[in-house]
Amino acid sequence: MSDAAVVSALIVDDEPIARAGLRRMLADVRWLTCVGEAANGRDAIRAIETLQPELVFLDVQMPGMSGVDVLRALTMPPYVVFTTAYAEHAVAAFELGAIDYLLKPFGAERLHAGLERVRAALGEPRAALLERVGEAFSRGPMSRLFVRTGRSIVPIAVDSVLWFEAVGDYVAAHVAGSQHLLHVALSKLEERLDPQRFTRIHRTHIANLDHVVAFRRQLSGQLVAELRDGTRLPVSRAKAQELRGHARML
Amino acid sequence: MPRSWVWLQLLLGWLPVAALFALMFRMAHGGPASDALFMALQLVLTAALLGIAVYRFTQRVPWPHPLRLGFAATHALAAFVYALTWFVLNVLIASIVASILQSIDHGSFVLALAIGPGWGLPYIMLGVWLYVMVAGIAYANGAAQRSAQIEALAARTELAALRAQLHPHLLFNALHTVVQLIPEDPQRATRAAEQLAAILRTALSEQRDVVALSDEWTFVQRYLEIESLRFGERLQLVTTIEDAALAALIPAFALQTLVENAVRHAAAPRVEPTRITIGARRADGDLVVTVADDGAGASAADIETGAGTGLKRLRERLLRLCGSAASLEIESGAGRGFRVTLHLPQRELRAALALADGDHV
Repeated sequence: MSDAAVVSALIVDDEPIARAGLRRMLADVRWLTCVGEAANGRDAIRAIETLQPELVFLDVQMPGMSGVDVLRALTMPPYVVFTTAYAEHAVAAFELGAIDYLLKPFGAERLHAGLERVRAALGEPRAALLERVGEAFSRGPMSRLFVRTGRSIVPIAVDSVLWFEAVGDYVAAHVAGSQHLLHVALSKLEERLDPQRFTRIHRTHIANLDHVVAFRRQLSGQLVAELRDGTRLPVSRAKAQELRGHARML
Repeated sequence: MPRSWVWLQLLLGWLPVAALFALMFRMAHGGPASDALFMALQLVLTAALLGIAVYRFTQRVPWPHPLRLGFAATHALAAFVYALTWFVLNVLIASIVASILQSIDHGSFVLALAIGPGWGLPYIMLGVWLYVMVAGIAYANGAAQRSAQIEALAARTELAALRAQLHPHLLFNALHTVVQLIPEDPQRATRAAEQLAAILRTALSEQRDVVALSDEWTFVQRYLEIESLRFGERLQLVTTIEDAALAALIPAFALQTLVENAVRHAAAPRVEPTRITIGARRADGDLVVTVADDGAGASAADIETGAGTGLKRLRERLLRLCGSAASLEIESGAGRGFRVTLHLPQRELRAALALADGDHV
């Protein structure tokens, strides 16, 4: 995309001050032009269909219809950046679906930083947004996660993940030969995994039981889970008992 | 609990036992009623005095969780010691009474009762039974006291929970409003930040269970000012608060719970403007608070099953603070708005306030 092209944007938020603030901040962004505003979900759908904006700033918590509902109601959604205040679960879902979002409160600086990525991504191929939103906001376990690699978004089949490991604020998903970082708490991720397949074997580890070949007791007495690729993961004492049952069934 | 009440309890507990003993003596041995009554009182009085020792003993040996064999063995031994002591004590008393009265007839009657052939064993068994009764009551009493303490603790936790329910939902949206206002209207941004700070200060530090309506109303007004900024024209407020009502007492955060419910459940989910009416007046010394909205309302079934842990918690707090004297009435229906009326008896709330003051001194 050339710098000369101007991207049309729509602002959707039920709070008048939030709309006015965003409009004011976007006025400083030269490659964007604000073509309209909407104060609720129904108006948003109408505005998107008539104005055909390329980019929509979509508030999640709105009266009547949430931002996620709005997106689901569209057949050909534009590029969407969600905005949300406190919403732990929504944030985890956004991260797992590699969906762009801005966490309120945000000022001009954070908005501009977020927009840099959006601008870069606007022209890039990406996994369909509806699919990612559908997966991330579905009830029950997710079958695919989405990670950003460079400028593109790559889907990862959850079944192919050998184990998840908490690393600071991130979770590393270990897939054969590589690993991907997800910006989500291990406990939040655990809620979205199939408990029949994924088990928290340790404070910082979730193992995919499909990839566990054996549970072995080491000389030190510590139980470890051995994976297909030879990796050995520590098992907490509390989990050891329960897991022995699983091991027999394998 | 005042001491005299303990003695009354003891008297009420032991007198029926004495009556039962007297009746049994009469039936088993005949003789004059006065002798049977005298004997029964003597037995019960000694049992009760020794019972004090049993009570103290139970306080030293707390009920184990889970139950242990050692605990049962300790009490079995203690029960035997109690029964034996009681028996020996009564025999001694009986012989002393007999020698004082110098009455062969009376003395032999009492002695026959006390140490007559084969009477030792039933006395021991009776003593063990009395021990079990006293120890049982002692442990039950202890459990009741502990549960009262737990309840007081729960009440404090409840207040903390009430304070906590404010933060996340309000805080981030309000901060976003403040941030957006800064370039637009710095003065309003400053005022909003100050109001938000005042709300947080109260929410984080309020320790009182009961406050004056004027304090509560100040807090609610700040909250409404912030929410009005956020909602704009979608929030319409009508307030009718009598001056006379402002000095009345109200459980802390009670009005806040009702108003916040109206904002969250009536105004927030609706695109159209929502009118919230807040009223407070005095009626026969009580404080009557009403919060009504013209939102979507809720069916009776919805109110029963899910509607608002806030209201449920408030109802429990009212029950604890005022007993059945306070009431919380809900009038609603699908599409008919939501109206909550609180009747707050001032006598009970003053008592609760005095009790809390006593706690802090």
